[in-house]
Amino acid sequence: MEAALAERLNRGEPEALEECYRTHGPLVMSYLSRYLPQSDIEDVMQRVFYEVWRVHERYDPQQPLRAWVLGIARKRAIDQLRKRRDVVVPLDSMREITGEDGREVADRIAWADEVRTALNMLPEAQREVLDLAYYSGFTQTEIAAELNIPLGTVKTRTARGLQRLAGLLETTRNTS
Amino acid sequence: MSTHIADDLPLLLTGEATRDEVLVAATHLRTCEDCRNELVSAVVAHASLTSARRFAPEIMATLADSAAVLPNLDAVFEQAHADARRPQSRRRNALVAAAIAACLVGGGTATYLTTRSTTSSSPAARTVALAPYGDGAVPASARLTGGNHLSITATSLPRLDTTRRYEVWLTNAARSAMQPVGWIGEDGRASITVPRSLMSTYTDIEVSVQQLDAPYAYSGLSVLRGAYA
Repeated sequence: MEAALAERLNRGEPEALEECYRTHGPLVMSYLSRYLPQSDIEDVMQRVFYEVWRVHERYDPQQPLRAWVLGIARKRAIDQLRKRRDVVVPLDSMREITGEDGREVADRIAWADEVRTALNMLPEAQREVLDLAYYSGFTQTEIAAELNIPLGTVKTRTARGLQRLAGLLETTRNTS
Repeated sequence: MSTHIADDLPLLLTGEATRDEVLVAATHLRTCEDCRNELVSAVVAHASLTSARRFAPEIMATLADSAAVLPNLDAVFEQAHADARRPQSRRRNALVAAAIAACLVGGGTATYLTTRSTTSSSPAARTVALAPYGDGAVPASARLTGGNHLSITATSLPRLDTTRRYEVWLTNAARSAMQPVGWIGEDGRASITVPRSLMSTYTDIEVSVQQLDAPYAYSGLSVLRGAYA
């Protein structure tokens, strides 16, 4: 689905831009919110997605779309931060986004979004135990107590969930 | 061979396994290819989840809700549809134009003329003169309708070869910021709806020559300019 969207965007289908916005807009907004005040977000979002459209022919659909969009967002966020010299911009934020690690941070965020997307594709029972283990810090014993299910069931669901998640992530990467 | 340990692999990765469980698993893994393959997949998923949690915790926490409050980008989408409807914009490689030289030689002798020329009968629609600027030599005009729709007629501009294209920008008097808003088609015309927030941010329209295969930044080669505010 992601690969098909990337191809359509590269061909210049305006509907693909809208789909790209629906799919990756939340990620871009979340990323921009790390660095920019809320009052700047809408304006920068417009610039980012207008640029996505403007340069769609330069996008290589073999590359992950979310990472490419996030790369544009990073540049526009830097522009915006530089424009805001009249206000205090946290030095750490400026350093993080503009420094040599800036691209890596954007890539990590894009990767996290891949993980989130894949996680949402798991069966509810598997996603639930992985959510509790990785994002709520529960041990397997605590998950069993929380969900009122046997420990063995938690172990099986967790193991199956990780296997399926890995499969989704590797498939996504190989087809994007 | 001992019993497969696939269900115990997550415990090994999260540090919940006991010493004995770790050692038993190690012994088994050295002899069981199936479980080693399972371990590889478990490591991929575990590393991915851990990285996401460490470097982008907000992705997991907030994205589900944020989709509901995405800004309205209808103006951007309208522009995309307008661009896509223009056959010239999708066939630009089919045409080869010859005479770029008349516009682009001359080494930047700016002739930035008076630019404001309001001739409309309605405040909702007016004409903005686009004077030769920078490397430009011929004027053009833009019709501004409803405060944010630009209809640009620049048929007097020389045709460009297939590697270049005219692009429309908004900027301010000091030219301290350049905001791209659209392309001029091979027929020398553009129809562009600009987000109102952008129109109010800037004051001037500028048209530049852009290399299509260059990084997507302002080229520095402007040929037209006019103030709309």
